[in-house]
Amino acid sequence: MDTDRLMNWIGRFSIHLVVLILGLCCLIPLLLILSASFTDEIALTRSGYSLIPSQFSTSAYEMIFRSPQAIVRAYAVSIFTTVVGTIIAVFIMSMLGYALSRPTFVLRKPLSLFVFFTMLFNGGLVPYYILMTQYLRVQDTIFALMLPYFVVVYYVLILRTYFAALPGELIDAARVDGAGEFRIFLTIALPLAKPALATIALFTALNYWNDWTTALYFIRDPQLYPLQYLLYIIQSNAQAMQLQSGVGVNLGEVPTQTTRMAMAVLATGPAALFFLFFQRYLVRGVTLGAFK
Amino acid sequence: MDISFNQSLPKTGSLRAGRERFAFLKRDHFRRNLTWFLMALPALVWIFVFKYLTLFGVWIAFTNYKVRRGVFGSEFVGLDNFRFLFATDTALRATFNTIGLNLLFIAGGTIAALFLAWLLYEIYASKLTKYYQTMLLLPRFISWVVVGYFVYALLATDNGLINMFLRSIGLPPIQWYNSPQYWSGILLLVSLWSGMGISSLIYLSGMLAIDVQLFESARIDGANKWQQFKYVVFPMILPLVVINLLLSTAYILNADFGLFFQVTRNQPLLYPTTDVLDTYIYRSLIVTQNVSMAAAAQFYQSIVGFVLVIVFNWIVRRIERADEPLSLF
Amino acid sequence: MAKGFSRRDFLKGMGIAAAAGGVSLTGLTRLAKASPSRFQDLPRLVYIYPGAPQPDVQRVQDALSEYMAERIGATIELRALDWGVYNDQIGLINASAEVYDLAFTAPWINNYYNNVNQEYLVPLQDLLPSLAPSYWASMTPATWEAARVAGGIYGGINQQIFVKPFGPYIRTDILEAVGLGDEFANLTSYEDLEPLMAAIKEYVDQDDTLTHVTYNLSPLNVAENWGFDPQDALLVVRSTDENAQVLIYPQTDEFRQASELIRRWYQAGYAPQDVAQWGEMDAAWTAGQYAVRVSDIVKPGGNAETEARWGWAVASKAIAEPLLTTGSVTATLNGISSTSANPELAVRYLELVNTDPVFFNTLCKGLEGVHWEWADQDQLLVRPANGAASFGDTGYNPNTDWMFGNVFNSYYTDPTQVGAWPQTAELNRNARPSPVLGFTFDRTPVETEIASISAVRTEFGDPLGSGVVDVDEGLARLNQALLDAGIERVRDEMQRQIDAWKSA
Repeated sequence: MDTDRLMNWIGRFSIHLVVLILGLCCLIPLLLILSASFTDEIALTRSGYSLIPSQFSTSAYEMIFRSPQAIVRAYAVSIFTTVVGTIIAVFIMSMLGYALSRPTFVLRKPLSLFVFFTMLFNGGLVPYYILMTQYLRVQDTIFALMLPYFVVVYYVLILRTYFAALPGELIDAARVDGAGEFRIFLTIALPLAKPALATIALFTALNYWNDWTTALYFIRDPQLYPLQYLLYIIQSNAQAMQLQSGVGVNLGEVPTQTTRMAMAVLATGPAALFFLFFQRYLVRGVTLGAFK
Repeated sequence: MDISFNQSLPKTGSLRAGRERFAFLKRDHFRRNLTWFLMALPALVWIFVFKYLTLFGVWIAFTNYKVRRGVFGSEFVGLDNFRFLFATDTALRATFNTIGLNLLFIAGGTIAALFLAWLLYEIYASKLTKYYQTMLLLPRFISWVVVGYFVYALLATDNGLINMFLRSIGLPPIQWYNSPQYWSGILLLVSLWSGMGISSLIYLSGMLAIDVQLFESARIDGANKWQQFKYVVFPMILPLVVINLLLSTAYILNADFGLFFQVTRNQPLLYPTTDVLDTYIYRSLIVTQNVSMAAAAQFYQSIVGFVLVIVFNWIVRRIERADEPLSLF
Repeated sequence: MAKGFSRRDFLKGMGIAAAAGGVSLTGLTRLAKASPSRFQDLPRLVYIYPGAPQPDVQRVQDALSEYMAERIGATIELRALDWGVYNDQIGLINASAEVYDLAFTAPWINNYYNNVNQEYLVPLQDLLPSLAPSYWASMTPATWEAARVAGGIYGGINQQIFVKPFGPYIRTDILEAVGLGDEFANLTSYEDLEPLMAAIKEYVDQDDTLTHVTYNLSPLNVAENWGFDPQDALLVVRSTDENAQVLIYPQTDEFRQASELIRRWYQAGYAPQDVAQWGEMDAAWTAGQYAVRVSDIVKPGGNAETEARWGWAVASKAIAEPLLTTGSVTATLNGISSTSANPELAVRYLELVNTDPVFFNTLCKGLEGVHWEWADQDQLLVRPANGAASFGDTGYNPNTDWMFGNVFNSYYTDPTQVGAWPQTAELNRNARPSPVLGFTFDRTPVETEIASISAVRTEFGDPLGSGVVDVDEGLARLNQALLDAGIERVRDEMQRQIDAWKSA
């Protein structure tokens, strides 16, 4: 028995070790980015990356924070779109995924095909742009940033697979108790699928958070710039400034590589913290009791 | 296989009752279908509006598209726009590289994600796990441009970390960016590094849904970890693996442009193993910016994926068990 | 994009021509007190161009509107789109037929030829002579011909440096240290550079900060360096060939000799052996890691500009012959949208911005006394207003004079620059016109071949241009790949078009 325990402990310890090493492989580059973002541009070119800045400098952040209100506002836009967009998207997608997972749903196969077909074929940018700007007329609104990710076919099909694996007994039982299909979905299917929902929510949130092309197409109002887009703009303007800087305009010091690193820090930091929190909150329900 | 969940739901009486077929369930067949349809409707409307109403744009691939003349007013040119995708050895190599690298990424990615999910599952009770998971997700946030800098910092000939290491143990340095033979492996590692954390989540959430009692009984039967994985975990998440493989097949001709362009620093000497369709198309059309040819390229990628999925789906349907459907449609 | 930036390289930091006369400077006082509400009934021209947001753009726009209202009966809206997104956004604006009046267009951003091909722009060959007579007369007919595509002139050309005299730049501190200043000043070819490179190499090997002689062996890609006018798809015309025979660049003797030269340099260790490193050229230059930029555009005021940008004093020497080509003349254009309701007014705007220094400099530098002030009015030299440290701190400094109009009307911003405009104008005047100046290739019949050639030229051409492959072997592979991609069909088609163009 004791040797069993010992073996068990060793097994767990080695798993922790392997995962920790993998985790560090992911974490260390980020620490290097953090350090690089606080390094002087020239020093970075000369001596490369290190965990401690070889020559401390905040010029990359000064460059980005030239107008701090813009950054704060961009965070707000990004957080709002990500949170609200993800909630709506996950709800819509799970309803479709659930319906498609019902074995007795007569439209199951044709609708699956209808949905799947669009995963591959699309009309390209111009029809999409015209639809958004001339028919839906959502340009320069917050909806323009949320609408495009409401349905991602890939996620719908993953959700369908999860829902299909739910025990039919529970659902039949609820029917016997007289519950309607929508109530069954809300009170039984969704809670049971929490890990799946959390996963898809995370994927969707990442899409929203990292997206800047939607803003490029549909947002001209700087008040509505999401974070990633604002950072991209700052970066590209800095580059253009450097390339155009003429005589009498001393812009030779515009940091480009360190700015890019600082942008990565600003975009990743809050999202990573959020994920720490989010993960604990969402997966708890299901796994309580599953582990003793 | 008996699936049940550790929930606070009533387990005995009503469950047993549910196993029997009740006549009134059939009577409600129509109403249930209606509810399901209504539930599906918001997403269906979105798909119809965003995907089907814009689908006419596909026609651009077959025309000499002039914006002011409209999609259907432009001159029809048949398959002319597709020629550059097959005209030279370089073009054909791009298609083969894409397929080869994607097969490698799909196989490597699936195995790595399953393995990682299983590791995380084994230590899920630990408080440390959520920190591990957060760490593993971080690379997803780093843009390929920045990843490109890091790979370069590792591989640079003069002062790259790997070559400094090689020199310190007395080995000759390797000119990585002149040596295409290493790059399938390098790109696989980079793509695993970037995507493993997030793709393992799908499988992990599938594993979390497994009844722990199954493990208990497996352990009592003396199953070791590998046997537990093989006989308990894998069958349970097989539907997820199959659907993921099917959906990956759909994208067999698509490649992540940033990975292949930024991480290789677009070095021409590496093209023999790293030039994929997306980078080939970019290089071909950067000069002329021909919209019709771009549409043709996209259509080519889609139609091949579509045909492959239809074929694989048919195969899956032939071998799946009736009570455990795995196919897409 | 990189292509765009390099093209943009030679268009910066400009001053003005002494020939600025014509318009009195008193208009300026009137510019300052603008009240836009009076002009609400007048048509408003929307001008879209790439640029970073400027805090004071509204003030400048109001002042410009007032000035315009009196002269052409219209006002203006300045709509700057950020640099990184300009290409995509203007593309969508055009594709969806959104209404605007003027936009910046060029072969390297908001592609001029595609815009013409897609019928996004208004033909100007009839409007310019009647509505913008001074502007039309300010450039020779041959110059205007360069902008002609498919029978029409679809963009207003910005007067600026039209020639591209490429040559090496070298850090003066190192040039002095090795004591080869005279040799550098007397360079006539890239071969002459070899002894200099060898001497610098010895110096570099003893210096801690310097890592290489140069960072990027670029001259092969610039066909002007070897006496050619480059056309599409690696095709060239010899600048002295009046018959304008189209040649395949990699098949020429010059290409082979240049490849061999670069191979020698590479093997001598003048550039990093790891070609992947070459992408960091600018960062490494700023960090002072190398001494020579082998091939950049050498132009009046260029040394001061380079020093301001990268922080090192330099000397430069032009090697390529100053050549007037279609590509160099059309590098910066302003086009009028086919969705514009007032194309005639837009043409009159072009007249104003290209001939009126007061208007032009307000657009470029903002308001006198607010954003800039005279340092020396006789020399047309300005400085940041109210003691601001740099123009970047004044609240309005798009710093893209070359984008808006005739840069010879631009006020100088640095004492070392004074007089650069007459010199540039002189350079333009004395430049030899290419035998195919004014010819524009219509790619439509050979789009597939062009796409295939674009895809293979990087793969087989770049290694020759960096010297990493053996010349015989590399050249054979490049030429074979080009033949497979159908370069002969493109050559024959281009020759046919040139012959037709010449006989017309």
